Amino acid sequence: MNLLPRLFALLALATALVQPAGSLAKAAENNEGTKITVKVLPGLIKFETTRFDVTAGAPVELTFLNDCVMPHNLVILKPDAEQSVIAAVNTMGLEGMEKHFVPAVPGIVASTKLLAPTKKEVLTFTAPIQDGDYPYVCTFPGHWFTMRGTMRVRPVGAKHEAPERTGEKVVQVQDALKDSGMSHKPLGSFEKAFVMRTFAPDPQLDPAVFAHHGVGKDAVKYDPATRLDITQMEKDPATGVTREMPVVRKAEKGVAGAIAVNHGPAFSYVWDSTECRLLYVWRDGFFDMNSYWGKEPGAYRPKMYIPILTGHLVYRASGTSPLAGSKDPAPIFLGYRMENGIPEFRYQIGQRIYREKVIPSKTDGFSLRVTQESGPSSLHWKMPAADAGAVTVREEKEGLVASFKDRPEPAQSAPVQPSEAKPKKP
Amino acid sequence: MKNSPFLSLVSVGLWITASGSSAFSQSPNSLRPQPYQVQEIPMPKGIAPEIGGLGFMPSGKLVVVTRRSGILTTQPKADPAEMKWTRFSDQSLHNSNGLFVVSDREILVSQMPELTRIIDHDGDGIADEYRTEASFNLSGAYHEVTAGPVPDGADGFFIALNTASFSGFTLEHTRGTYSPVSRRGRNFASVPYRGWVMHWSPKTGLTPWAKGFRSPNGIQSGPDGSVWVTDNQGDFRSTNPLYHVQKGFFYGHPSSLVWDPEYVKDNHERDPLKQPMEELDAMRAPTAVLFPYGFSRSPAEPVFDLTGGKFGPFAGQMLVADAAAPRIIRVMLEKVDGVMQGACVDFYSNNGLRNGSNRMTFSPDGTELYVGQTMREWAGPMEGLQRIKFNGGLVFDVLAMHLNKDGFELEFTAPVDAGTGEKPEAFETETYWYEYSSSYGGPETNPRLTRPSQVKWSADRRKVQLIYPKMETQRVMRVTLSGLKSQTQPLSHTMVAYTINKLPK
Repeated sequence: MNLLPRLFALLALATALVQPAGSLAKAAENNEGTKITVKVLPGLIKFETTRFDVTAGAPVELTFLNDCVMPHNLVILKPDAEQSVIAAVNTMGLEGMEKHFVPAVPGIVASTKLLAPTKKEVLTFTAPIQDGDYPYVCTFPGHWFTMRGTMRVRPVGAKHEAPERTGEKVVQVQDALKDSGMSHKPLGSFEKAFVMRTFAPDPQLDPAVFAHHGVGKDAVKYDPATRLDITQMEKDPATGVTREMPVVRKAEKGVAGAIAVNHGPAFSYVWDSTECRLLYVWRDGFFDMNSYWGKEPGAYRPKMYIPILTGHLVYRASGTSPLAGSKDPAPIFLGYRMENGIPEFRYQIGQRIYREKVIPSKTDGFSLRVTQESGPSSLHWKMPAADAGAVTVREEKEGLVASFKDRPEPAQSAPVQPSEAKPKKP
Repeated sequence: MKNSPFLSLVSVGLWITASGSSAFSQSPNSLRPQPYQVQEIPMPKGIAPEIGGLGFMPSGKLVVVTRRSGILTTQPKADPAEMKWTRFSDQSLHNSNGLFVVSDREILVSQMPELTRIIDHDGDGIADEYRTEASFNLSGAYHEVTAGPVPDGADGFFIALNTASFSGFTLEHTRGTYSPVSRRGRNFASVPYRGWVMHWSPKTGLTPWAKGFRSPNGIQSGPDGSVWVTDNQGDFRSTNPLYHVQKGFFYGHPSSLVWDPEYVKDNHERDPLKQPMEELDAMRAPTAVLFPYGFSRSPAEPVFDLTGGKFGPFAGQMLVADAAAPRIIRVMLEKVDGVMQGACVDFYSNNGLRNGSNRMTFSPDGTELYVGQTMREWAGPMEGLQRIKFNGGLVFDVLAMHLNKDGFELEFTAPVDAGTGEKPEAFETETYWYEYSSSYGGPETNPRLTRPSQVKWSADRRKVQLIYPKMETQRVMRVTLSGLKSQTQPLSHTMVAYTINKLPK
């Protein structure tokens, strides 16, 4: 390869200057066009280059480099299209991320993907025939007020001015999480539990377990700008006719007030601070937090916000709480104490205050110890039907001990996870 | 030690930065010692340094609550490398985003589902009890985080509860009563009391206190017992606001209204999203400061400088962290015709400060401001812990901005040289407003350029009266200060913006 053109190209990129004016008409004729690099001022929500010139009808090679800590795109708009395009972006929501916040509406000349920090994309397109000022913005919500510039389309033969820059510069400060060594598969030990407050998966538990929860429903997406629900043309499953259908966000499976406890690979459980009871127990794993914490430190952008359960379940709760009567008010969680490496949960049902411990085991079976601390004496275990045969309850001086046999379920070939793809209960 | 741990302006070559022409840039006067310096504080391996709360124990130990790696403490040292960290709690709290130190053995922490009192009963330095003081409802969205607790001056605390975002989940089984009416909305409050500032005390429990918040990721109580909340630009928020929060008042984001018994007393399915904007607007309490979007991208915790001058000349003023720009801004507040309002100005930008500042606290001796960063849920990673040290020396800046009937009085930290700032052109002013709108963010509306008709300096050249041809309410006035110099240096920050809700009578 000839070194000179390469040098020229490098020089052009490095200085982000277009060719000297005299060669422009020739450049357009020769189909050479404009090369420009647009960078982002890290953390300032601004393009470094705020104006550049191109020639009408000539090719443009625009390199967009996102050296910011936030995701950004670069969308070039027709002169009067800004309002309508931004209005369309504002209705996109989470789908916006997937569609790079580039709506399928008229008025867009060219657009990059939504680029993660440090990524770059080269856009090649033909400059519009009509000369004029074409705004470019980042359409990530909230960014367009400050993250904007102008692509000036000049008539063929017209002089180009040097790109205009904001003049601001920022020195990057390292993200401390990158080197933190934080594990996304945390574990405790058999002797000392690791207790984690988190959203937890709901492995298709009996809905009766959630007696004191609200009933979340699928919801129609909403556009704050128009103050209307969002619709799209879709086939109505009832009639088979394509019409404006509401865009629905499905309700998801998961437990919001969960306390996940891990005693090493052998034994894990989720105890719920809303229902104040043991929800499920599993072995040979714990949680993979990637789905909640992001794939790796420094690349945080979760999709699920709920961890993935690894291992195999050996117990799932069913029915209403074995300690609460049907007329009892919702339980009140009072907290927990760590005692010899095991959490002891404390909660109130009506006038009665209970303390509860899950005693782990390395092999088959585990137990649950309940002590009544105060209130009218009424410690009674109402055996859920599904637990008959697998759970035995005995009274001790201090309270009740419920012994559970493992009811192993097949090891998860795919980890148990609250997936959007999972079929919904009607 | 390889290098001085303090990021020195010279050694990291920041002159390029400093010579930028923007309103935020520092002066290019290269050999002057910098009054404020940023220092990185490394945290131990194996924990995620996403800072949800900062505080100091009576013993002088710094307490750091992280959003997923528990609570750590350390005795601060001049050299951060010598700081030994110990775990106060190795339990993973759920997205803890605020703390209040009760004693050397007791810390109140807010996490997504609850306000928790974390106690080390046996004094071995490791907590053994996690006592739930109050439970918060959750629909399941990642956005339902907390801010606070901050003390109410008696035995209680305030906590702010974020709404959910339509980018997150709603669960089939919600923690708390689910309302389909308030599930609508871009940001919404489908369970009580999302979008509220709550009050909790041991005697009265958890009670709703003020409503209309969207993403109130900063709460603070002032020395006079006043309550301050920062919120985030988005739906029903044209820009980032600072609110002076008063009991029972409504602050403009309507979703929370469905949990107000007064609001729904005649119709329990009353939908605030269907209420005309003019009516919602009429219900709204004023915004103390509308941060110009360029000043603050995502305001987080406000702190009052109660160091009595040990952190520089701004005693009594408020500093506000920014979770989406490498910047801390300063707020100068005053009461005008019964309403709190004021001005904001850059305090510290770039120059070693990391993006993502979420929580801040002053060291017990008042000479350092600890700044904890995290922004993972919103726009990308920027996590860690830093501190800003005041080295003494002249900070040449706007000290105060007071509103008069006919303009402003600006006060400076040092005399301004005669011959600078003499003409109206040195005080070019943009005036505009942020309309109350349901849209996600909004532009500066009805912008106009103006400048003072008269400039009157005090004899000591510390104060200047700017008299404008016309002053109006419902305007932000953004003044660019051009060419002002002290005897030794140019003005550090040259743009100041005042939100005028009321004019003096």
